[in-house]
Amino acid sequence: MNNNLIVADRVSKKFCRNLRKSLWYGIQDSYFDLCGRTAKEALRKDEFWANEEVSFSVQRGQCVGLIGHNGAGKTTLLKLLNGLIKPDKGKVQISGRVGAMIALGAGFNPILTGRENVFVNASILGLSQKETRKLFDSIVEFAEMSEFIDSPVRTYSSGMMVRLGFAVATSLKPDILLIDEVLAVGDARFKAKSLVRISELLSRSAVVLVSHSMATVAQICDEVLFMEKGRLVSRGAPTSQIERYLCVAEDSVGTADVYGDEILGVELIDYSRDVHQGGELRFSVSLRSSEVNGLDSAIIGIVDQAGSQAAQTHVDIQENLRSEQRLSFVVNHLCLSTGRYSVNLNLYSNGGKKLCAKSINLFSFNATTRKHLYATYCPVGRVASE
Amino acid sequence: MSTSVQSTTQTTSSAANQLPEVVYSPESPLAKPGKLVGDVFGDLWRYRELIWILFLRDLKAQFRQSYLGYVWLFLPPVMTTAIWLFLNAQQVIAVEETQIPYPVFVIIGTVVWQTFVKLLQSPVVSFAQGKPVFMKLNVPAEAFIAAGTARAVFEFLIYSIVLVPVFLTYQIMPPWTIVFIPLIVVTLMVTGTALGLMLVPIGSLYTDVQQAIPVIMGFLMYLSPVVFPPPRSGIASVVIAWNPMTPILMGTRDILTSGDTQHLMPMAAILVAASIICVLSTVAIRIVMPHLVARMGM
Repeated sequence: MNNNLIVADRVSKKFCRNLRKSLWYGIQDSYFDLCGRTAKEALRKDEFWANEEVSFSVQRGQCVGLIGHNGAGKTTLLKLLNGLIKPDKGKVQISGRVGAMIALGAGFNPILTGRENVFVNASILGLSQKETRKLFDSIVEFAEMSEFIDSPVRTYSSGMMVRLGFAVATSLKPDILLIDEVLAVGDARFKAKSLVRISELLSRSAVVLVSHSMATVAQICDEVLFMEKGRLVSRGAPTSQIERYLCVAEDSVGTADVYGDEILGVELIDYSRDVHQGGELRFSVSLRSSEVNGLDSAIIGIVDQAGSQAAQTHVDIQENLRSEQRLSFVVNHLCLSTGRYSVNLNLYSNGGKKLCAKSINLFSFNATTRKHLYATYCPVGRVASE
Repeated sequence: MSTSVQSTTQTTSSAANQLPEVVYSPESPLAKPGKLVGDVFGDLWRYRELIWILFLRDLKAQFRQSYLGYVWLFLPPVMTTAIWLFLNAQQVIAVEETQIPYPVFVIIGTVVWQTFVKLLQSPVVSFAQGKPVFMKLNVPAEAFIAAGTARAVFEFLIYSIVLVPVFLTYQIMPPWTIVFIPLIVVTLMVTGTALGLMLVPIGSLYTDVQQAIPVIMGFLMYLSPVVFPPPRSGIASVVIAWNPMTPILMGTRDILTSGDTQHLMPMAAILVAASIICVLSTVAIRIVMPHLVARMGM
């Protein structure tokens, strides 16, 4: 039997930059549909393709990650899959019940109690009252809200609210699950708990996940689609796509964004391409700044391919800097497992309080270790008997 | 790849291991009109529980934060009536002699008119309130609209109670024609809703509609026989004669008091026309919904 629950076939969607025109085009499109005609495919003035020729399919048990910068069209694609908006070209085929982890706590009314809101929210998500009554206790227990369930929702903290919304949303058993950033909510302990709960859903649904957290994407996705300007530019295993994403994470590889008027520009001059275990990472940047810049510290961050911070260090800059200056940094005794890493650099003034310049992905380097970290398993019984 | 590709909208398969399949394509849903209409009204039935829950939610929320609660429903018709009685008594305005006592005339008029205005506003208002939900989740907007209409109907039932003491005070014995009350109520509901539904597509894109409704309704009230009987000559008499609300307002008064049935036929005609508009507008909202969501922003 065919297992593709989601099939997107050359899906395209137009959007318009200008609000007034956008509304007017909306009226035009509506008019065409009301006359039973299909609108022309060509772009009108001020329009662009928010999604262009996107094709992919997802099977049950498969989790596809959508990554890309803001405005790459990820959310638009989710809306197309959810049937909220219709494609201008191509088509989307959906088989099965769709669940969306998108707006947690949809329809919550602040004046009503948590209990009443659970029923409203569940009903909006497609659960019948009968089903909700059956699931109610487990929802409240999971959200750890039994104490407050009869208080009005407006007395809840924002954390309590999302916990309740999350508990309701994850009590459904959809065939297809669309997730926009909300995988885990609440504090660290609750996050772990919610990840366990959601992983149960992941295994039995066809999942499309939109996320900017590369660590999450690397952890749970089987395949990653990398989007840029509405197009699907590449797809493949999470690690390769994430690397690609991080490489173009900022257009400004080798430079930094500047805040305030202390620093006018930062440019990468030289850096280590490869670092052995325990070795040094060296890099220099040239700094253009105003006469008095008061720059006094820097934070260097090292980020792995999954987007998680692997190391971070703080550096004091003691000398008074001139307007044109070369800044050199050396990170000693770097112990990283083999892989590719990128470097972030933040420069601060005013005693480390004011961020003057920030570079996400200043450059990337390869780390190599001669020895691999390894561990062996010792059965408890043997230790006890010896 | 998929074996069968169904065209637009929903097909539910009866086979146990087959999942309901939906295809979204650029094609106009009007390509299969029968299916479209079936989907729209099938959804209204399928989501009846949601409609009920939303109705209860708004009702509870409205009164939980207020001491006077339902009193706020009675007050507007009572106040309007009081103002007009005062103006009339003070000779600030002179209303032509009415067949029934003037207070009864005004209060029936205001109850009917207020219900009409609420019903007319309700779809646009409910749509705007439900927007955050159906912009993000696949929930039929019709459910939110229906819940709003249900609430307007409920409010009508509450404040039509003010008619009871009025009838007792003036010792008016309703004639046999009160058997037509259901016809009046349905006509009023359907007419208000039909006009309200027509405003939804434009009203959700342009805020002008929501701004305009109170202004225009305030004006239209004086072009309808709400607080004074229709004049016999002049432009106003022509406008009022052609105003679809005239038979409803006058007819309501007649069948509650005098037993005159002359307005019943026009009322039935209005009911038929309004019902058709209601169905067409509901289907139209479904057709344009994806465009509205796309244009209302992310």
